[in-house]
Amino acid sequence: VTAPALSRRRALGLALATGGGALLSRPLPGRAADPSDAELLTRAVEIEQRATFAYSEALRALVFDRRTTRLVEAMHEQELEHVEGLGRALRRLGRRPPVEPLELRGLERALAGGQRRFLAFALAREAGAVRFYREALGQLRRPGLLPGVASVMANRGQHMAVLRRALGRDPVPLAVETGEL
Amino acid sequence: VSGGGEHPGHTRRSLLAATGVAAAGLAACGDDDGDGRAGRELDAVLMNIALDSEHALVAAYAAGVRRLRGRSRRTARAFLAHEREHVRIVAREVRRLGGKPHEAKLPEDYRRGYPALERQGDVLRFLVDLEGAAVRAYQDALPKLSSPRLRRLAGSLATTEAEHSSILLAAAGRSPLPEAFVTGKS
Repeated sequence: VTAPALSRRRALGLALATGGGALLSRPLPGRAADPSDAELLTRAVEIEQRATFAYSEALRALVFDRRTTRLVEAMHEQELEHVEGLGRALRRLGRRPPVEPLELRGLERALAGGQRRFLAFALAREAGAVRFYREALGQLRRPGLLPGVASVMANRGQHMAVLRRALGRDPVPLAVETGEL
Repeated sequence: VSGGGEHPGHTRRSLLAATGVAAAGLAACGDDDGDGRAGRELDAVLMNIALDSEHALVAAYAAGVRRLRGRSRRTARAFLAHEREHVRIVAREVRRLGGKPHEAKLPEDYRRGYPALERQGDVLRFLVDLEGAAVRAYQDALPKLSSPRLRRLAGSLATTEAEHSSILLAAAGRSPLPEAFVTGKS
């Protein structure tokens, strides 16, 4: 990773964080039953922490082929950036990021099944993340948070595409990505 | 991530004024971010801007697919079908909001703005650039879209364009995952 790339990524993460506070006085209309922005960001950080944990454990436990190793490493690094960017946005709202997970349901079995089984597990987790972010875009009240959250969602969609291809499936099977498997 | 919250270069008011939409309605509603008439009219303007990006993608894939070979050609054909579906979906949303969907320009009008597309790599790079522009159009629209349903749709369409971009990058021999925050600006 080059230094300019790192600084650009930090800037993007920072923009996501500061976007949350930019339009506090002009919230989007929402339903009373919707979760608050802080609740949504807390859930988002949890989702990203779990993805980071899953990819980290897989890189430690499995021997992937060379191309898949590069993909899993890239996805792991990107999830870490999401944790950082979303966590910063959450702190701007006065909340502390949740505690990082020590285990993940289904992960152990997926790892025991080898590369293909883990990639299918990862694809299901990525799809769940896309579904979450899609719903969040309709619920967030602070307009400034929306582009940043959408940029994370788009990246998770890209993870889905490369995972589908690695599994020998159509990488983009539908014209509208909703996170359905 | 253009996280400042305001549309880069545009405000809600300037977008409506520039397109001549609902000046009276906008004046009546002031800074209304709600889902009233002004909100729907602005949503139609924003979706029409996104529709322009989708039309451009259809034209570019239609022109580019002939210059691609093998797997890249099959991929481009599949993505062209997606873009045509996006045009149908977004145009339907504009009509539902009471607007008139923008028509596509003539193919030669699009072609005049194309770079040289002689080699497969040229085509793939150009398509990646246009997919990025579509991602930007949707993400720029998000803070101003009053309808939660349209925000979800915009997020889904931007994500699909990002997926296309990833597969096109791989076809061009580049990393399919170049950035953690996909803004279409790199």
